[in-house]
Amino acid sequence: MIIFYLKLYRELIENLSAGRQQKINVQHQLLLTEQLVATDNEIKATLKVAEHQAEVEKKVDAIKEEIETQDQHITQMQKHFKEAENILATALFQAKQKLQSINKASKHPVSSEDLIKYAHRISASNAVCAPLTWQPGDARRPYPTDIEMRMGYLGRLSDLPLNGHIMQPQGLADMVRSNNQIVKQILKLDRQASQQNQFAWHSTGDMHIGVNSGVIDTRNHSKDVAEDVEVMSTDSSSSSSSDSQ
Amino acid sequence: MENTLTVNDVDTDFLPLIHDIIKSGERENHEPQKSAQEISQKIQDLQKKIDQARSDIRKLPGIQYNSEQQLKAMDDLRQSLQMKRQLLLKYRHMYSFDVPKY
Repeated sequence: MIIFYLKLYRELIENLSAGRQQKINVQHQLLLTEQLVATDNEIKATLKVAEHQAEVEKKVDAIKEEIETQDQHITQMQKHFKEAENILATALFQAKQKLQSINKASKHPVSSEDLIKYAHRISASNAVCAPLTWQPGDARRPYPTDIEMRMGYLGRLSDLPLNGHIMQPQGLADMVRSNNQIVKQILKLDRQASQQNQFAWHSTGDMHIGVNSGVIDTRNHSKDVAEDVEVMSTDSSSSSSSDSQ
Repeated sequence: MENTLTVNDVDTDFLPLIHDIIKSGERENHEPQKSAQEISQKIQDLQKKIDQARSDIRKLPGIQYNSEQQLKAMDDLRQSLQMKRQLLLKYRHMYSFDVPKY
């Protein structure tokens, strides 16, 4: 619009200068002047529209600012939801595990009496000191008995030469393979030593116990334990007698 | 401070200057040299004023769109804001625990 205004203005000036020289085109000058005034009014009207648009633009800016604030709130809330989801997922996983445990326990119920008996046995044989009520002749021992020792890794190592070939548990063999040569040498020394003591082990008789069985069943071994207790009671009586002496 | 420029700051009163120029042209017969210098100066002033107005108008806020486009953009933004508010309200009034029914 300003360009049009400029054109009109230039045309008017040129016309005026030409008209002054030639004294013509008076009507054209009048027309140009009217157009100039009309264009000026149009510029003013357009500026009013621009003013209105500036006000609208302010509102638009305010809305944009508000949208940005809402976006921040939404982002914050999404972050909180994500944290809550993580926490709930963990809690759900743990709850499922507990449910599995509960189902397992309900499928294989163990009477409280058995549980207490087993706990009593564990505390009797694996404690670091004798029970307060222990007396000579009591079957309970505050240390591993012979059978328990034989069921351990050391006892199984000692059994190796008896069978003539390697009967190590798979886990131990892997461990030995993966370890360095020093461990192998120590094992060889152990084998030699156990070969020398082979006859002593034979003399005890009960060498088959627990060599291949990994899990101890307390109910099935109750008789064995009773026998061991009888065997050990002689030892304990001797030791207790020695203690009394 | 380009953003704070308003329509009132834009000077578009060109007609008085044009009128002065025409008047000076009419006086050219009496004092030709003086009048020519004066006219030349006034034309330069008018040119400067027009350039200044043009540059100021370009800095006015919201003139990159026409009225319809601007109003449409504002409506779109309002709708977007409304949706975001509703979303936030929905989030805030959600059940704390959604217990599945077996």
